[in-house]
Amino acid sequence: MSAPGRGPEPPWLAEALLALCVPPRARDSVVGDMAEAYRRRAETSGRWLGLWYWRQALSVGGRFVLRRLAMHDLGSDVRLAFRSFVKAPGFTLASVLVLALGLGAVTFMFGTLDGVALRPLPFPDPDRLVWMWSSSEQYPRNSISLENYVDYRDQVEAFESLAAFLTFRPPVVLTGDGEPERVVSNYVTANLFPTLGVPPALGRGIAEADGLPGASDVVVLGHDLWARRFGSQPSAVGASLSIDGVPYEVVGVMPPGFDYPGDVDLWLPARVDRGYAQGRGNNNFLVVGRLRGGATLEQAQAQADVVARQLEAAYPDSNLGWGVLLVSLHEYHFAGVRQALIVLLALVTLVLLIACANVASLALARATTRAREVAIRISMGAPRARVVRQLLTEHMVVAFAGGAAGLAFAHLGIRALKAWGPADLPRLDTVGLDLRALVFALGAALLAGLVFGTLPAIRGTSVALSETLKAGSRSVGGGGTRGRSVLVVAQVALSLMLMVGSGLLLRSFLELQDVDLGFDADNLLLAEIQVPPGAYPDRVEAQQVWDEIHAGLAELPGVREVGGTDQLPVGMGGTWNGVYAQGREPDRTSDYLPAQRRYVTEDFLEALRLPLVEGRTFQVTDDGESSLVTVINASMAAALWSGEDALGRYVVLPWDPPIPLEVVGVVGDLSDQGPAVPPRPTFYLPIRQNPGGLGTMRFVMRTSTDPMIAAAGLRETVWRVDPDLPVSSVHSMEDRVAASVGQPKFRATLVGLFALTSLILAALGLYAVLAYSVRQRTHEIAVRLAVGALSGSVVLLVLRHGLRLVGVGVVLGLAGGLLGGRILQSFLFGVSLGDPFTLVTVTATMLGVALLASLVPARRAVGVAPLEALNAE
Amino acid sequence: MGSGGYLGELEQMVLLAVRRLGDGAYGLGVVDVLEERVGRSLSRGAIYVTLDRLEEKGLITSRRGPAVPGRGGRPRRLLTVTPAGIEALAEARRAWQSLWEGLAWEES
Repeated sequence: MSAPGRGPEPPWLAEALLALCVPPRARDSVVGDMAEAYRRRAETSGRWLGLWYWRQALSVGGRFVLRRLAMHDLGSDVRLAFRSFVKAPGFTLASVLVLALGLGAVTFMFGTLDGVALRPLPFPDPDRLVWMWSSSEQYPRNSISLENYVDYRDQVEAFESLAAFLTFRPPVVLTGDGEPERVVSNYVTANLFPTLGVPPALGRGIAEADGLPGASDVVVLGHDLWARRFGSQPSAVGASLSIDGVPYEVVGVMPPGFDYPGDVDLWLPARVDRGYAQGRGNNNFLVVGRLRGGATLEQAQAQADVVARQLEAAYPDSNLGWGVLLVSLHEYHFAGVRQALIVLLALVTLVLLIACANVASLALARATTRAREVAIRISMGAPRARVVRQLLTEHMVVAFAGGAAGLAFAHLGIRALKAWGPADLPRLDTVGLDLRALVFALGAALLAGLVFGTLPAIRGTSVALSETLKAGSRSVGGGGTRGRSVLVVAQVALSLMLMVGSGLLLRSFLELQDVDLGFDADNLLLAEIQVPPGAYPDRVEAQQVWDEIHAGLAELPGVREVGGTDQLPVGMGGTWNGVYAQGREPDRTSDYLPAQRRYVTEDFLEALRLPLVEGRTFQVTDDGESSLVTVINASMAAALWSGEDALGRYVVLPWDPPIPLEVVGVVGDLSDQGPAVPPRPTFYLPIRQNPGGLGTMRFVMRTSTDPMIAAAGLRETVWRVDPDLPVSSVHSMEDRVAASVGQPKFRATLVGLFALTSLILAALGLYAVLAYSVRQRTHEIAVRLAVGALSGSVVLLVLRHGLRLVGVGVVLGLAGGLLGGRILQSFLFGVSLGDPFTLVTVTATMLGVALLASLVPARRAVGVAPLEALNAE
Repeated sequence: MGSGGYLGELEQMVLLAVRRLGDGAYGLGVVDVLEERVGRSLSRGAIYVTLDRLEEKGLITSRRGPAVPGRGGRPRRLLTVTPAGIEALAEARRAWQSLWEGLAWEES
């Protein structure tokens, strides 16, 4: 994309490479001219533009580099190298391609890892930032109550400051000027901004006094919201903003890019007098802290442990068994992905190793054919060191060419990642080929050059001179063959390891796809509709609005059933409560059964096609007039009354006073947090018995055809009831489920690609070795055929050679895969490390490919014409 | 190419192209002229390297040209053949002419 009037830009990477190759005095001329030529071409033909530019840039840049090299002694080596490449274009091309695949894969992974997980957090002194979990044996990483937080804040000296914010980010509706807009808010303590080290760009942050009872309502805006709502006017500070119908005074604006803890548009002070902030068992907050300069995480943890024990003693009811767990903020945000990416990096290093082994065996093969040339040069008086240098130079040039091509591959890979990568990969937009990735790629290329350059170079010169010259064209001995055989075995083993890994990940992903979600996810349209608080203060009127919308949605074309709820299934999981069975109240609040709570309309469970195990679902008559009822899921029935009949019993919400709910039905479980997480105990409540009424309703619509067809008329239908209601998150359940397995899919795809790359590399390596060995044994084969050997036996001879190598590689690879597979353990789902299906499939694939790679040389061996071959001697 | 006293073939072509283009001569113009007049496709890289070498030898000079849009902020470099360059061209032409003289040739 480019700004209007400026026209297309050449690929930046190619342009940067070109500028690097051209000496400064010619840079303006050459690079500028190329840009001009590119522009001109874009106007006339316009096809394959990027490719054209790359080709031109490499050719022009290459000329200048050669010219510069020619001025030094190295130039002659490089020139010689190029001459030898021209003589063996197949070898050169294969080496460069093989290296490009390996280096490209590594650079790509490094760029991603670097961008996503290695770079520090965007806050000053990020090393001093920590995350504080509330922690018990059963729930090691839990949120914390505001009251407990205050004690830690005031008593742990190692903290310079400790800030808290609400676990959920309540959506709010802005009204007033312009159309109603739904944005994300968060309730935070006064010191959140100073703790992170980010001062407001304008005005002030949130003050301690803003959270006290009786304080006036203030708000701090995010930069984008300020630009959108106030046109970036400084006068916004002091202005009034209507949030959920209540006027708030804008006191500050945060700098651009700041949206902590993520996607937040505006920050409100956490008020100590509100329900969410009260009670030590009311774990509604998350906590970040900044350590004092010089203080360590361990000191802070030790001090916090002391405070935790005091709190346990003082408030055993809520705090017994609870402490806190401190981790660095970086670890909190990136530990999950970092682990995944490091695994990928380890796997991709395998690919690089395979590529190096491959090029090494190619080079070894060539070195043996060139042994005669080398021998002649040495016998003519060329210093051995000079010859070694020459050979090494050849390999370095190959490595650099491979590195450059690999960089282009990596560039393409990152573009693809940005287009198709999972949305929940943090900081994906910052991923790019930066200088460090470039340095890494170059380092890898050099290392590869040294690794595969040394071996053949040493071998190439150590062949005994007289022997080599005497032996004539059949010059080569068996030592090289053994070296190459070892390399083939290594390649097969390494790529088999990768294939085992990718097979397991793929199986996990497929297993996830196959998980029975507990309900019918096909043809479900989802939509979220929000009523601004205060819009319908009257309960009855509000219920009428929902009923009208509900009826309207049912009339949409193709819609067969409609249901509404406060929390959609499959996602983050929503509100939960600690509950207990009536008559079996546990002694400690921490022993209550945590259960997911969901308000639903009377037809929601039917619309989802959730199977009814016993009893009934809700009816319109389950309203404010009748007794309180609930429908629970099978897990909850089992947890509260295992084996006994749950119908007619009571679930108690331990509120003040406790609220008993009669169980009128039991339904099947559904996978609430996506297929990877087993279903939790869940209880459903009829929406008409919700004392507060609902501000947000999420509708599910069962359609007879593609759900997105019904989406077309959805907004109009809602707006006929009330044009001020924001309608958002219109999507299909299928997309929702797919998003929940985005990461596993991404991992399987990525590792699968690496495995495919390595399989190709291994097959190439095997082919090269066998083809070479057939060429070397032409004489022997010709003799065999001449004395009457059957062609079948010759084919077998070659195949046996190939399959013996592969067999050893497969055994080693399987062993390695089983051992190394352990790093994948945490990413596997429903499949064990030793999964026989995966192992058998992978082995069969490898053997099949190996057979194919061996057949070509084998057929060539049969085609040897005995007379010709013997005459050639 | 061009090492002894004489100009290489490409060097001559490039010098002549610069001459032909006159005041506004710059790299891309030279590429265009050669493509148009010589017909066969010459490598861009070879042309630019030749230009660089000719400048090093003092046969052409270059100066900063006007900023033209669409060049990523890089000005053109305007080229002029120096008197030494003209002298070298003339010498090359004399050499060729004397070698051609009296030879019968039919273009098929």
